[in-house]
Amino acid sequence: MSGDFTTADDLAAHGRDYVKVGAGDIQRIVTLSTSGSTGNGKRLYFTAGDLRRTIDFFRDGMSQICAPGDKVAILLGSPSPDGLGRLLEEGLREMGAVPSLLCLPRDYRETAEALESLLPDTLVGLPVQMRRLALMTPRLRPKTVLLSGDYVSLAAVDTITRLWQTRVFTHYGLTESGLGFAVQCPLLLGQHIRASELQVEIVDPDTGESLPEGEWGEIVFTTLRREAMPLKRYRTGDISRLLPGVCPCGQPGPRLDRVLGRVTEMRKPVSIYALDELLLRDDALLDYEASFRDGMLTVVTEGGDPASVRALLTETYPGFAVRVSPGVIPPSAQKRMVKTL
Amino acid sequence: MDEMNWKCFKCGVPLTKKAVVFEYMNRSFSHEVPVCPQCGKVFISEELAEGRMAEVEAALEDK
Repeated sequence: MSGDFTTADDLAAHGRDYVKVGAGDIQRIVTLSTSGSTGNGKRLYFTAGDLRRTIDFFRDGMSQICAPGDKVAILLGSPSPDGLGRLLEEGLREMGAVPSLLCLPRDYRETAEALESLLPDTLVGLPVQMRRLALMTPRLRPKTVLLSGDYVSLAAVDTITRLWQTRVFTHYGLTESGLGFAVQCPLLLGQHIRASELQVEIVDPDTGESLPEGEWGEIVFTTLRREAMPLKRYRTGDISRLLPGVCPCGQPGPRLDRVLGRVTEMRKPVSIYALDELLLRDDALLDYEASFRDGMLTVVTEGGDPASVRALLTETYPGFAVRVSPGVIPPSAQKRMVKTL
Repeated sequence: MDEMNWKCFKCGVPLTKKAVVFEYMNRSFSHEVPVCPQCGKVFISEELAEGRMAEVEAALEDK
């Protein structure tokens, strides 16, 4: 990669070079396996101060989504010390909410039962998983839902909103940004960026050229207060745009529009984003997996009617051969994508 | 590198292999490493640190 950008490959190959503090000051390390070219894991380093600022963001962001005393089910992360789940739990406690760290679901039935006992006011989780739970337990009716961690389809937002009669917020963030990045305001217009922590630019994903507000491109950020591992012009690989003007909610500062997805996924002949919007409109379809190779799109669906799914896909993608079969799709922590190769 | 040739510099005695418990991120795992039988200091070879230990760290360091 040329120029003054930092890329995922740079971190995978030379991660230690980016660490600016002594080993004794590192409170938490996160290892991420990359789906990038090097195939190696990236390690991200955080001091206690870095984690504190993440908790602050979670506390402030969540106080717009739930109120003191509210029960919040966290369906992300693990019990791992100083991990996403624990940090969010702490932020919620600090704003006076009552968090339950249920973690990423391992079994939907088990999770649905836990939610039916807990009756949370707010849920935080992955979009497709929260949609599936809404279809399984329509009477849950939380006041708000926060979707984060993967592409948020309009179809998933609509389904959750409709079934649970709830307000759905989105958050975009990555481990490299210190987990928090941007969260929707109460008016659900744009995602407000943590401007005290991150300077955000949008660049052309092919040329690296800076793009003005309002134009879609790759999100690039520079950390402003990170201690362990400051990042300059880190290329996220995600596509969005900066929204111009001041948000009607009154909060100042830059805002991101919806995140449309990852550049690498969008370049595939068929992306998971297009499939989500197409297939997740069917309430009978709980989940699906897709792969594409040599002009053949293969989809496994759980729920829904494979024949009508096949007809819909054939109509939408007349150039492809399409095969749809029923199956079971267990919950997964991985980012969803169309498998190619 | 033959770990059994190592001597503790402080105590002057050869190190012996012992099962030592390592703790990280609230989890523990055990591994046999050279230890000074006198002062108890443990020797972590570069091979161990960059091999098995690095693997365990990566597995525990999930988001």
